[in-house]
Amino acid sequence: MRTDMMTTDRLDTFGRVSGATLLASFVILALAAAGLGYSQSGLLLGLFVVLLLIATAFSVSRHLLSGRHPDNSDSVRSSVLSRGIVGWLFGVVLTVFYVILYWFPHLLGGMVALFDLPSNLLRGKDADQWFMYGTFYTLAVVLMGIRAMARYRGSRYHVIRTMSVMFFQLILAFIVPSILVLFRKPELYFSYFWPLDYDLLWPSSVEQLTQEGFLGAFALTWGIILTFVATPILTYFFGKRWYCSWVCGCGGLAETAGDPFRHLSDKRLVAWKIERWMIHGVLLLIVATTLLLWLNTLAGGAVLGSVSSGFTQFYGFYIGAIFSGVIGVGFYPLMGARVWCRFGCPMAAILGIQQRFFSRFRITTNGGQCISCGNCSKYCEMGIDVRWYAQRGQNIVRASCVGCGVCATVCPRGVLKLENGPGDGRFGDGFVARDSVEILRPGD
Amino acid sequence: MREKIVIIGNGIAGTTVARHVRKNSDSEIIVVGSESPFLFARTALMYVYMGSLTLTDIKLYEDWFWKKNRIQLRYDTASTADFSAKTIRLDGGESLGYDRLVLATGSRPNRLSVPGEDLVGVSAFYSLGDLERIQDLTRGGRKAVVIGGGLIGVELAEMLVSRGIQVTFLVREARYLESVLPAEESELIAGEIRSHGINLVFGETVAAVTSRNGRTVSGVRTESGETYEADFVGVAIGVGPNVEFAARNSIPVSRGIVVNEFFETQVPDVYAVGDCVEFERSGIGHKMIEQLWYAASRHGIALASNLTGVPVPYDRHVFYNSAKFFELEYQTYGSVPADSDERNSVVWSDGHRLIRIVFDPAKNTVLGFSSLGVRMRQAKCVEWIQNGDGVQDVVARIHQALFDPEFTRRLDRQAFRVQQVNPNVRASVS
Ligand SMILES: Cc1cc2nc3c(=O)[nH]c(=O)nc-3n(C[C@H](O)[C@H](O)[C@H](O)COP(=O)(O)OP(=O)(O)OC[C@H]3O[C@@H](n4cnc5c(N)ncnc54)[C@H](O)[C@@H]3O)c2cc1C
Ligand code: SF4
Ligand code: SF4
Repeated sequence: MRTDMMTTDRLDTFGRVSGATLLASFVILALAAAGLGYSQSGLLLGLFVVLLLIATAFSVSRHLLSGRHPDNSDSVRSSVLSRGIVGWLFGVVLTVFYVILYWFPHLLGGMVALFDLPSNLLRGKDADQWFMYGTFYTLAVVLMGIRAMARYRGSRYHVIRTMSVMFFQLILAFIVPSILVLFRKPELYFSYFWPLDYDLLWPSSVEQLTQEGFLGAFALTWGIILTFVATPILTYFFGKRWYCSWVCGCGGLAETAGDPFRHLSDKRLVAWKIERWMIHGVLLLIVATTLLLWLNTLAGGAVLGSVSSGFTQFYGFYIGAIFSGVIGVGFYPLMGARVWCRFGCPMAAILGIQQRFFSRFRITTNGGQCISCGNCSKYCEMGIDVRWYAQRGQNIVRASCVGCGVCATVCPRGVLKLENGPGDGRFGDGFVARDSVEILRPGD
Repeated sequence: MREKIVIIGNGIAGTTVARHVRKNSDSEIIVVGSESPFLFARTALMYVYMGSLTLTDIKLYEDWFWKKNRIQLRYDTASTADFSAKTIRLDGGESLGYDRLVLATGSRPNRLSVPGEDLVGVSAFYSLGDLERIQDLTRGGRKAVVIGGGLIGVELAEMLVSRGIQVTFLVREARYLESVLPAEESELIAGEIRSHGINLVFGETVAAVTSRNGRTVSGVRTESGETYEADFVGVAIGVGPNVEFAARNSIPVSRGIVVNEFFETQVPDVYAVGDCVEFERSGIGHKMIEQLWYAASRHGIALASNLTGVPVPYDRHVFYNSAKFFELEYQTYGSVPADSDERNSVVWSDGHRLIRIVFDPAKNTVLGFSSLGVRMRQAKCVEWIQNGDGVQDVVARIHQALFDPEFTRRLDRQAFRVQQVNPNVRASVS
């Protein structure tokens, strides 16, 4: 409950202190990169972690001090959250970081060395850039996850869902792979599978995994079962949310570190059109690549020859690195946190097609109670114009909806409810008479 | 030739007429609006003030929508009409011929009618202009008084308190929304308002708005002689139909523009919908004036149907409404009289949330629901009311009507107090 003393100005102050502390932690990283990371790794790592904890504490307090209904009063005024100068700068810094990480890792210098200590503890060897990146990622999900739980504490759906993404990132995408490395096993990520983990089912990986003994065989079977059996079943019952906002690491980062930026997604119809071309294009590409690779392998390299390696490199570079990393996260402060999930992720594309056509999941609109305020659309990270449906009494059945539940939480009139209802009446017949203007909206 | 429909007022009522006429016909449609070039959600003005939405966010449709649907917009004020020549004139000089004219001119905030109400620092809260004025007036403000215990008053109080302004909320009645809500609901809401640091005072009628320099406001004085200091005074004592255009052009008005259940005014080919209308007969079973977002859009749909060849008398079906008092959501369906008590209703409350089910004591059939802090499913509530289901059945199946998010803790039945004296009901709840 917001007490009389917690005005938006004071809340803003908490937000600013948190932001400034985060900035200070970036300075530590820069100092480490500049060389201090080798000589002062313990001190700098300690400072870095302490600053992150302070930043988190202020951000969490900001939300605990505001109402149980999430307080969004900073999303328009804050420069970093509204594509102001600070927002652009932050976007540039993130993007540059990704470019360095992928293509100029030597520039990271002593920054990587900072993480030798935890890396040795967990994996029994010195850190490399990917361990460092995994650590950042996990810290972001966990610390910002705590913040998200504070912000959305009025809804248990959010609290439980956030704990779920924190668990999958911390355990399955960080600790387990590290421990596998410690025991000199292949570094396996059990919460990602094809086609998001795009090369998991490529002939080269399959061959490699089958040579890894039991663990490899298990990973392969697990991957195949999840892609071809679990995914369709779970998506039928729960919609794509079971993965996109409960399990997936990309989704996990978006729901935690990306949460403050969710309203920056583009809601315009034109964005939806672009989205559908892009995401299905990527899906086509990965399916084609995978099939061609298999064809090629089965034909003993006769089909494609060297072209196949070109294909894999193309996908790895443009989709795997540039799209999901550089743009996907680098553009958080510019286009919201789900750029990759919305425009590029082939897994989201498959889950989306299924969610649209063969799933029980929908967001039910509560009769005619919508007052068209626009909060739902504004805070939908997938850029869905939720209000478009709600104000005419229709349910929301959209391929891209990741079921984060925020639209239902920010609605001031209790209009929206995420449900796994029965198949009939899923679209809702429109409490407010359906109208033909909707044909302007292309069918999803 | 295509029929030409001119609509005065681009609020939700006028725009809904336009959209649904377009749905059913090829008529030429022109909508005149003086407040803003595009339809926006008046209901969301508070979020613009509080900073969670921008003006762009509260537009109901993207800008391409109007052209695509061939709805012509005029950002202008309609001033005069010539009904024999079937033309209206806009302030900008344009004159528009029409085959049918629709008035959707909305509401106007009621005036206090006390000395000092035109001082700088006093404002109502209805229009975009009001929002801008309030934004200017309250920048750096310290103390405010909000007058009037309705739904807009509480929004205004929430807005002001979010900026750190100390708010005194003066309500004339003895309890919050006394004429609409049962006492327990009033009490819960009053508690919620107070818990946000508002000085909520009942039973105070403002006698004058005061000033020290004769120009800007310094506070208010009430009939009881009490004074309250303020650098901003918000007036939210209700709204009334805006009949300015109609009255000026001799269209019969009472409190609102008088229409029948087909939304026809007493001038041929002139219709009216939304907040500005008053139904001439109360035979259609509800209040004569409906000042609700929902009603305005339902009026619009019904009139559009009449205009495009399917005349249906307006029928409001089962009443519904909703509101939010700070963090407490409120919903209501059907009929929940303000004097409801244990004779005609069962109440569940855990002190923070509440559900009331109103029934007909003679027949035991359900008549209405209200809820605070619990979301209720409209389709279910309406179904039960329309079927005339027995209150015992409804109590037993109440979970079917809950619309709270997944994982919300189930209402703890033990914690609920059943006030009901009817033995049948008590038996089925315990
Ligand atoms: C702050 C606030 C919050 C509200 N919240 C809710 C809510 O939560 N739920 C709910 O049900 N209702 C709510 N309402 C009430 C709701 O907004 C109204 O019932 C609804 O807007 C009425 O729609 P309308 O189209 O009839 O009139 P309006 O929205 O008033 O639109 C009429 C338009 O016509 C224009 N106009 C008038 N005369 C002329 C002329 N001569 N020429 C050109 N243009 C003209 C006006 O400028 C105005 O823009 C709220 C109202 C306010 C002020
Ligand atoms: S529609 Fe709602 S639940 Fe779906 S992604 Fe958007 S905000 Fe989340
Ligand atoms: S947030 Fe709720 S009331 Fe507002 S537009 Fe969305 S569904 Fe309607």
